[in-house]
Amino acid sequence: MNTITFNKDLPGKTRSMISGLEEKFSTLLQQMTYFKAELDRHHGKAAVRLQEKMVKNLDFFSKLSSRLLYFADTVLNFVNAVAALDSAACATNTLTSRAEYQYTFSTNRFEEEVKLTPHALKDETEQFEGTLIAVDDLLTEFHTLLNQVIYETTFPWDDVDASWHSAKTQISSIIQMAKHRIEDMSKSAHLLIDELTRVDNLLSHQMIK
Amino acid sequence: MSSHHPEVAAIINRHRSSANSMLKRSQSRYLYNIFVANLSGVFSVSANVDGNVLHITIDDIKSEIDSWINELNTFIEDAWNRYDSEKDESGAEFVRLSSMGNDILYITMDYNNTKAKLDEMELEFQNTVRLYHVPVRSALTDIHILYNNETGYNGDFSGMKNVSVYIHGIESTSNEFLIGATEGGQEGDIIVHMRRDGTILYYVIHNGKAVLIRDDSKLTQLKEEAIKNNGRLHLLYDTEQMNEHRQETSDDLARKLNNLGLLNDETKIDMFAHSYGGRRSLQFAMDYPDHVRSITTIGTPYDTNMLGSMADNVRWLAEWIGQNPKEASDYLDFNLDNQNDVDGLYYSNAYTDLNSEPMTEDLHNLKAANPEVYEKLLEMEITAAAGYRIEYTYTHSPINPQRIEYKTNSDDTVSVESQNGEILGDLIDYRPQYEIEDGTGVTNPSHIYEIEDEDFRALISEINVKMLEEAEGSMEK
Repeated sequence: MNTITFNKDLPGKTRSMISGLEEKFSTLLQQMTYFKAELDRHHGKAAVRLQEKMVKNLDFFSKLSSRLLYFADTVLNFVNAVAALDSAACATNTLTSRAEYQYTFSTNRFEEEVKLTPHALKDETEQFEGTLIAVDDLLTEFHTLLNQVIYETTFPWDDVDASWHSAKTQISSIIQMAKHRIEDMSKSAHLLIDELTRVDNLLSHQMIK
Repeated sequence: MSSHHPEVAAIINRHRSSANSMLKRSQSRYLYNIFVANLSGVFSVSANVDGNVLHITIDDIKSEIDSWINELNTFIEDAWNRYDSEKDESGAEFVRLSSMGNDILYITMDYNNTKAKLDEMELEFQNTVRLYHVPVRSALTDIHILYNNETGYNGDFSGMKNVSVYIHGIESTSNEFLIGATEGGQEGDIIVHMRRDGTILYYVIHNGKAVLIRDDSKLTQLKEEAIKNNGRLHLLYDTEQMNEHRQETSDDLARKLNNLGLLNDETKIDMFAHSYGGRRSLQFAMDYPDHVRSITTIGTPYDTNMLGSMADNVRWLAEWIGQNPKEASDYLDFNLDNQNDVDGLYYSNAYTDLNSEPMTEDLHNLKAANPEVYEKLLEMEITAAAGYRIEYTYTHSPINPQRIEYKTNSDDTVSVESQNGEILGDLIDYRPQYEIEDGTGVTNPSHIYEIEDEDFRALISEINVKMLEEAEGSMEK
């Protein structure tokens, strides 16, 4: 058997990071789904452009969240299992399946759950930018942690070992893409909020008449 | 700890220091416990193993202990070589060396016991490592797929929108699918045969025949034409290990399709499979439902299978008749029932799978974990064909003896009910049954002739055409 190397502190660090990201990704997807549903009701040029962007971003963040978290969770569970074996403790396998992660961050599931209410629009628009900042920060931390995992960890699997470093490049690249999208969404957030509020006011006005 | 001869004590003192260094380097509690339990008669270790980084290379540790044994043996051999009985009139030196030899014998016994415990430790680590190997690898593949999609990766066959993948069963290759793929394809379709030895053969369908393409530029030209004409790519896929578990196949196939540029939103895959290949296909569809459009199988044991169970339980007998029930990849299933071992090293393969799990088990888990994927499976066109034979019996009437024809309830290996995927309920859209004329019995079962069966070949053709027409129809809409 080849070498196994990892940091015993990794499970603790990764566990809290996974929980944090799960929560923030869910909030982000929920808000994006909400905006998409709102934008579905609007037909102005700006709204259509924003809606197209939102659909693409939703798809990307749905895949990104399930895949990054599944990866982190499998590594965490493996490290836990080896650490438990080494310390003669009883290992508990808490591995969440790939299918389960996909369902947790499925756009369809969010779309089914979203409920459009006037209060929700106000709440979601107020919190959206905060969520974007939080996800951006967590992704930076997550990236640092993954770098640590990849550089300081050795697995005795030839085929995994062979793709380990290219995986690092790809993960870095995907996280950068996510950050660019967040930056872009942040820039459009004002536009989005203005557009949604404008049309919402318009609709309220029409209803009063 | 007993006292040692000074020379031996000097040597084992070095060993103690080496052991402490190894513990310090590895920070392994398990290794510490082995050293304490097996070496306390020789020396005591004092290294602290509460550090952060676990770093184990068991082979290096065993080599180090081997070098200790060597050092002691060489020392005593040299001592005896230097021994001169004429100078040892009192015999004191002889007694001293003998006692030292005994001392070394006991020490090396402890060292060897330690090595045996290290073997056990290695086996336990290997089994844990095996358990997580495939999940980690498949997580990396998923990231690779996302990366390719986001960066607009161009594989060798990017742009092909219709792909047929042909998957074989246990103890087999995809060679026999070449006829079916050729007949089931259309003029200008490309056939890629990825063989187990790593070689890849390329064919083009021309005048109803598979013509080998030997030239790269010709392949590029034919590929471009196939893309332009909305042609089909037929992938004859050999699993890396003949009898690997379906999960291993699904992961490997995903990696290969991704590298070929075929796992994207535009490309749709129609899967054709024989025998255990059907389970492999369904696993792939469960893992990558957005990419699969249809599944067509024949001879697939969707239920547990008696012959598979026998091969897994009585492996010597299966080996005796030429099967390879121990042949496996590094895949190890979390389900303990879906495992077997060779000298303590656990594996899961097609035989353990056929012995332990009907396909319904994973489907139920999937349905609970992700009902959307199950819905997508329901939307796929799934055909589970069954092969059977016709046998004859005679009435014993002396007046009017008659030959009575009857249909067997299996293809000698898999029951018709299991092949038709009765346990999968409404997941299966069609359940055709075909008479297989060749083969009989367990040693030459009709099961192995199903891939080449005329009706099944016609079914491949029909599905390929139907899926293409439906895709073109939906594009026009």
